[in-house]
Amino acid sequence: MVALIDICVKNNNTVALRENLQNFRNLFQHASMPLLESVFKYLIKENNKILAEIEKKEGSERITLLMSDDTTNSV
Amino acid sequence: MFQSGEATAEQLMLIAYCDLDELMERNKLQPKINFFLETYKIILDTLRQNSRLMELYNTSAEKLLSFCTKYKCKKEFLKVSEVLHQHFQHIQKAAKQPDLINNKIPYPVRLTDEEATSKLLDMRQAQLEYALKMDLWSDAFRTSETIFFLINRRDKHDIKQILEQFFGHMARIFWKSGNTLFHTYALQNLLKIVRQSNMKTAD
Repeated sequence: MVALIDICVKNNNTVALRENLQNFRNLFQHASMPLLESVFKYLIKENNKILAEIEKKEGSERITLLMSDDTTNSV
Repeated sequence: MFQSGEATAEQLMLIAYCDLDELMERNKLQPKINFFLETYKIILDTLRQNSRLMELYNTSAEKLLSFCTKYKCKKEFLKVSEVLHQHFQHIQKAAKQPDLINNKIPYPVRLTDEEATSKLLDMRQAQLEYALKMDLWSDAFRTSETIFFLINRRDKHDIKQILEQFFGHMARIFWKSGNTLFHTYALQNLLKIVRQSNMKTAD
């Protein structure tokens, strides 16, 4: 599952991530809750890394310009 | 950005009339941000009925809300907030049909469970704070209704601090909406709680 998360993160593939996470949850919520927890913690950690990387590379002003509804540009 | 022959006439006109560098930068950055947001939404959807992993659910929701607040994206904030409201409605529905849920989910979120209610309340309080920071008053009011519902399910002894915060926030919402009577009533309630707690401290 961790390898699959890595692939999805690398390819920005949310469709596969959603489907597989739900299947994984359905299987392991009955069998092993700590395993389920560790997988979700790993996903959260990887996801936070993405934001940290963007913030470091582009700067928060750039993200604000892109995301903010107040400063929606002409593009 | 486009392979040769792929761009339509409209796209070519768009490129001609806007900053190409800006467009290229946006096309690089946007998918990553979208993935970041979408992944957290997936986590929320997947964990919404699991009482054992509610802390992860709360962390994910707070991360999303704080991102929207930090980068001032109100539309995204409203979408996330709507998702959280829907999840709470599902929990309320499930509470009405306990047998149906018990058979399918191993650790469902129950409104009768004190710990689960406490975690739900913590999340909604954070949601209300973020909504107030974003000046999204109608969403803040909607969240406050959920908080009121959850407060009523809690033990009366340990909700003093929650009520203080709640009435403080309600006063702000009613002031902004022009409901001065309700604003005054909220402040009166706040004053009552503060006086009661001061009297107890003095005793």
